[in-house]
Amino acid sequence: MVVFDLSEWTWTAMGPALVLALTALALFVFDSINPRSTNRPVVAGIATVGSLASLGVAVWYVLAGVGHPDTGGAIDLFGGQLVVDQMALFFMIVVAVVTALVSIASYDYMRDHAYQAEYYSLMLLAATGMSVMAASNSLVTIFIALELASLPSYALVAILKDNKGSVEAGLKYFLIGALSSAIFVYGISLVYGATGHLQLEAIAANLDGEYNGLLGVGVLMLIAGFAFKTASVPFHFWAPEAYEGAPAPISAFLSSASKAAGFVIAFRVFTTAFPLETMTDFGVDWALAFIILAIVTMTVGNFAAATQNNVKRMLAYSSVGHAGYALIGLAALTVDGGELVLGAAMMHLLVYGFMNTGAFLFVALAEYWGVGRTFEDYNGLARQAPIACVALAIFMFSLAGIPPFGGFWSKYFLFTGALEAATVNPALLVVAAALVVNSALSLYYYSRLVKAVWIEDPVLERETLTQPAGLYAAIVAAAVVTVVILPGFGPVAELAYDAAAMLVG
Amino acid sequence: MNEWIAIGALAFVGLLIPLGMMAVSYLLRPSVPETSKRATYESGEVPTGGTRIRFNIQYYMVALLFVVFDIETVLLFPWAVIYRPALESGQVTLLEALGPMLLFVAILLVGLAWAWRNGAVQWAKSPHRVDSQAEVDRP
Repeated sequence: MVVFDLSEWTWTAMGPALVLALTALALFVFDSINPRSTNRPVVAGIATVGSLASLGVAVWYVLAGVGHPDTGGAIDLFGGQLVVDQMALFFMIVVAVVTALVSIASYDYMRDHAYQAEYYSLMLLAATGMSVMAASNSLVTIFIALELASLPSYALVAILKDNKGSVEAGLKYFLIGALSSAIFVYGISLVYGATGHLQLEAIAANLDGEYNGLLGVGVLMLIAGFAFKTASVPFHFWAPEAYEGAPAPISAFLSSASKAAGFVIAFRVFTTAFPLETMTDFGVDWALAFIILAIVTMTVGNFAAATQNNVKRMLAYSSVGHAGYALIGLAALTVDGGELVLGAAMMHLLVYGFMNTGAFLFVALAEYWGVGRTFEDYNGLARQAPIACVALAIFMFSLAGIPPFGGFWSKYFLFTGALEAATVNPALLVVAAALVVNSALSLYYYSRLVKAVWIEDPVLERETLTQPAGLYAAIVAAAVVTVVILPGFGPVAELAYDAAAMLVG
Repeated sequence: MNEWIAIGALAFVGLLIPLGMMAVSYLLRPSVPETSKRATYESGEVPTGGTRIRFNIQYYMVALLFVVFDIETVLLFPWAVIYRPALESGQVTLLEALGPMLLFVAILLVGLAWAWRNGAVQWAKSPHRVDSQAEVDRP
């Protein structure tokens, strides 16, 4: 292991986020020098190089043991406002990976678009916000990072200015986002009122049970804010609307990176600021709330997905369902542990970052070809584009959780983790059962898409389909990682469990 | 619970005053219907045109740029207050005291340069204004 000393320059621990911010600024400078430039190779290149550099820095930090207990533990920055530990780096990796894949794919997707540099700089600013969310350790920094991630996302959803669907989706996303931000910030104010602190460890140290009602309502409002960001019930209804209208690479970006970032703050806030044992004594049993939310979210998401005819809407509801799976990570936390299931949820979000991004990028490819939006429109695509359709099959079976792919392992760990926690809290048996039943149901609609692409005959004769290099590269890369993450699962799982143990223990 | 009664009483009085004023003036006022009462009020001038005027979007752009630099000033003030004592205390070097703020201003300048180059401060004339130029120029 490389010896790595950050003691002199502790702020460099935020390197992955800083690289993303610098890349966004570089894009602004480029666009200032050549206003309205449509030099796509340069802008897409800057965005891709920047996000890959962020990924490289994050992986390097993980390998060097930054934030690892052996090298001095989590790094506190600015008096504990930010903290760089293994979970922060883990999610910085997820954000950087998704940003890189989406930038590469956008090169082809946004080919006729007038606002090239704006598109990529907004995306990198949102990615910066998500990366900072991973390291936020105070309700203030969490809120600022959340807004930094949200505001560019609203603009990105509506960036196809002449497309009614895109503008409508942007407006809906903005209105619901503004509402949930208001609820979230009100929740923060109530927690502040009950404890007198905003920094997460300080909140935990000042839970004295004096203002339990206030605290309970505050926690409930925080849960509402997280539910919006992670597209969980009851704030999930924006997801199908926003994802359907948005450009498909942006749908991929929001449903993977934004969701993961929402989960990381939920994990951190609830494990650090509101330790379960203290909160249960006060009668604020948030684990129960997450048990209910997890079951309802995965059931609603999967049943709604099964009835869709539009592929993008199906994927949007499936992403709601996967938010339900990841919520098990919080639902199955018990007073004496739960790092196994929390680590499994983190792994699921990493694998999901690849397979779900890949699936949405396939939709982007279909939109690039202009084949249509429904399952029937996708019929027989495999004859003209076999490589992309093999990748699609991998994504679909991995999302459904079929054994050889990454999605199976993360779901398997979630399942065993939930079963283990069920020895303490029998309600988790229901969660584990819901996970299995919903996964079985999801196989139906995922395989329906695979069947349409591979087995059905095309409804209309199509012309030969082009093979856009950027979209193909991103899809194939995502598919390869979804498969090869299997032999690489050892170190990934180890990192996730270490990170979770540090948080819970 | 008695504090809440006081708050409730305050809210009640707060509602009562405006409603009472409206009710009293409704009872006392003479009724003189007149069409000029419905006209748009323009500080006593004879009104020109309707009330539904489209404002140039650039008012918004200028307001947005203003907010950015307003916030910058707000953040500069506390820094300026502690800058000299911080340097005299000898605990921070010049770079540590000056660097972050210069960086912050530089980031905002990148944003301003971008907005400038993309035409945010270029005041476009709306067709309406070009047509009625002579009328607008009156004292």
